Amino acid sequence: MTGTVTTGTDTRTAARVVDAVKVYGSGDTEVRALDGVSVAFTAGRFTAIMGPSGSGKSTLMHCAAGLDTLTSGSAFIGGTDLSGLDDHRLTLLRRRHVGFVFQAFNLLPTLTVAENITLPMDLAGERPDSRWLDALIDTVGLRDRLHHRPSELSGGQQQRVAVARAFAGRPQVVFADEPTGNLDSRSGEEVLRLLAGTVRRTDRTVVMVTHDPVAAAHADEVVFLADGRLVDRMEAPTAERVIDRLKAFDGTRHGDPEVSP
Amino acid sequence: MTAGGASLRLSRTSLRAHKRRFAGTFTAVLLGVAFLTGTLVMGDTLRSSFDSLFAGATGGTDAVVRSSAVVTVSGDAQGTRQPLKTDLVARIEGIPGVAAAEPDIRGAGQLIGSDGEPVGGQGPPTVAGNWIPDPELNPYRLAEGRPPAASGEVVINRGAAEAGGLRIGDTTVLRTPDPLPVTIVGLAAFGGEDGMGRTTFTAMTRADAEKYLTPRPGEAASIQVRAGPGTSRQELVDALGAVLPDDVEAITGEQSARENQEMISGQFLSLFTTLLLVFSGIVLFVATFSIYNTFAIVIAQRTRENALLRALGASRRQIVGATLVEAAVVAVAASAAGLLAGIGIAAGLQALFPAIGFPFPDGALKVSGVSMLLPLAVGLLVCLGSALMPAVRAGRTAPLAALRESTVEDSAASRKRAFAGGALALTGIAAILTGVLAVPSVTLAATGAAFAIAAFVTLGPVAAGRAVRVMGRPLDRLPGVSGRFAKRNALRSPRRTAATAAALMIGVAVVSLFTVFGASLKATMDQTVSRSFAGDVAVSAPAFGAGGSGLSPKLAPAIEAQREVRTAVGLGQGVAEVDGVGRRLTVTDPAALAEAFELGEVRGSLSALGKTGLAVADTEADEHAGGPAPPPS
Repeated sequence: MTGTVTTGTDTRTAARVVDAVKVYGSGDTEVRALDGVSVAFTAGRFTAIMGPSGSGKSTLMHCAAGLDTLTSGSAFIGGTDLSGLDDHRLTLLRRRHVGFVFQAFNLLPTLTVAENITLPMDLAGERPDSRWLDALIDTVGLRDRLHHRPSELSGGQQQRVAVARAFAGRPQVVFADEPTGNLDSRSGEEVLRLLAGTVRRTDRTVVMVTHDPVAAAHADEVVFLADGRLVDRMEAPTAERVIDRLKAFDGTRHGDPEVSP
Repeated sequence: MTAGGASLRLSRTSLRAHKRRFAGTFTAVLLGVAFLTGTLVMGDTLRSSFDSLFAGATGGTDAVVRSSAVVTVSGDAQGTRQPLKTDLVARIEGIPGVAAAEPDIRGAGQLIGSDGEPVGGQGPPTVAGNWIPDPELNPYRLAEGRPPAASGEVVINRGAAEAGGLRIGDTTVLRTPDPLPVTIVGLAAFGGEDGMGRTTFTAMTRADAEKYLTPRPGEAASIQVRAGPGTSRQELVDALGAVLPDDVEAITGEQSARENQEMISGQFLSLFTTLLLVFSGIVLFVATFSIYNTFAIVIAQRTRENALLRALGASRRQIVGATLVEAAVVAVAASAAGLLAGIGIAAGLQALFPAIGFPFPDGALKVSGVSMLLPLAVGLLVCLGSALMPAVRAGRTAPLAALRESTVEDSAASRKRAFAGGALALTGIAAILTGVLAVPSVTLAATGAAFAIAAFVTLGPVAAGRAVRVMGRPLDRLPGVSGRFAKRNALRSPRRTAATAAALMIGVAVVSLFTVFGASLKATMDQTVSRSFAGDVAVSAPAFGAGGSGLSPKLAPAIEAQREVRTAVGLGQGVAEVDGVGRRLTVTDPAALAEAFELGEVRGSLSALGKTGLAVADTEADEHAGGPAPPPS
């Protein structure tokens, strides 16, 4: 399943950003959250975005997913340039082609588990593919919880519902923003296996933002961000290698190579 | 395309989750709709009951002959008609197709009850007339006793007898307004009821009526005519019209009944329904604030849910739709409940009326399509209208708001709002000042008042922050944190604080409106009277509306005859057409008037008025400048 590492366009690119710049504020308070990032997320792979706090990893995800707009540069989902879309078209694109798993508050408390899973399709007025949905519900292991409300589930179960919802409409790409940030390590492990397993078994694409090296180790590839720039990529990561890479960062960030081991 | 199903499902589940929060909205709409429905059903029921009552009572009268000269003044659409000569009766009886004709002689007549107090007179008319012997032509039917046969014998309607504690055989006084001793020989019913509304009716012999009720004998208010067999009502009216003099007209019995019934409706129904309508209007107006507030709070609490929905692909329209559907469901449920409550109110009033002495005509409640659909529509409109702004705001939620831990409220009152409110306030104040001081105009002043209210509502959030800061100052000094928290919470969302305060503000505004209006009216009257009244004592008969008999014209000379009195002047009222417009006139002895009233500068001479002269107020003369008016007709 592994291919050659590429940062350029590819026929099998699910999402990418080119020369992405995102500036917050102006004048003295100007913050360049993204400072010319170009990265492509290959279809059928599980990519993790890592970097220290304030490196711009969340901003990159928001802009790539069409939740936020770039100051300059462009973002693509499949072949669609997001910068040319108005609010309504962007909404329709998210609904059809993008899945989301957030850190917390993923589910509508007033809907049942089943209703939450099919919500994007309900919003589009489409009938879900029942065989795909059935398989998905079995994969996340929540068949006996379908008619419960989110408040009756544990945190890990809620995240598994969110994973099922993200894949339910077979989007081009699923973006996960610290999906294990609020979970204990055992539940987190389950959610990560679920993400990675679904990518591998059903040829889906996942882009995950995380600061946890153990979580990143589940990905096929890690991209490293620092100070709003893409600084490195790592194939077939392990937790140890990721930690080492991050330590190197800390050193360069503090501008004191002596401190780095 | 947007999927309506998703919006509907979201509204349904959200309603279930926020049941308690919507209780206030539900109650507000329910009350407003209930009053509106109650008013409409009540009005319809009364009107239809009066319809059948009058149709039954006057069914035997085929045509009514009356003078065509009528003077109408504002507030009395029926107008005052010239009396007819009773010798017309004989001529009408000679017309082919006429079976019977009877004069209807009418005047004021107030009975004195067994307790010595006058009967009625507080609103509905107190009428005296002749007893029409022909049972078909007489709208009153003898219920007990016998018709009046001799002078001084009267029949009174059962309602009046009950109200005055009078029975057959009793002797009492009838004020016409000169006191007339009468003996009650019979009791009458109008249609199937004790009377025509609360109108009191005293019937005497035709001779007595001509003698005591009209200024000159041989005059009648109208002539009731019954058609012979084979003559239709319209044929009868046509036959009469061909023969009658120019200034006399004939109308069908139906038309006469309708006019009488409109008079009753006008006197009673409009007052009653206007009161209830104003009330329901205020309730619904205050409801808009409460509904707006509820939805604003619900939307603020749901920012993260709405943001999540937006992130997952809900369009703005779907979010707005879901919120509005929610409002519509509350509105429909509350309006339906209000509809039932309103019909209940009407039924309750129907049961209550006889208990307070108003003979409510029998008849089932009349619930028309309008009185069901209108309140429903109003309830829906009020609810959706009030929820629209919060709904649009919900639609604007940014998808990224789902990712923030806590929601940031847009608490700052915008500069734009301050300017808009200031402009509204200035416009309102300018309009009020112009309307009150420069060019007296009620419309202008009222528009100004509306602008001022709009300004206060607009400026609410701007003022709320400042007001809380100033009034909350003592709270900071309280020991403990409760006071400080209270102040901060009130400050956190000035818009919400202002919306809550606005509902209360409107309530207080309505109360002040009525209080100030009442006090001003009283003060104005006091001022007018005290400025012009130079006399020492005023004598008046306690009466209100169309009731009462007034005072006898003989009273002023009698008072003047007292040793202690220098001058007494009577003031009467009449109507006349001046320049083609009906006007109320004061009738008096002009020379004596000048002694009792401060008339100011008088141009011309009051003593030279004679029989055809007319004195007018200064302002009146200025308005109709261009020489003396032609003599009144």
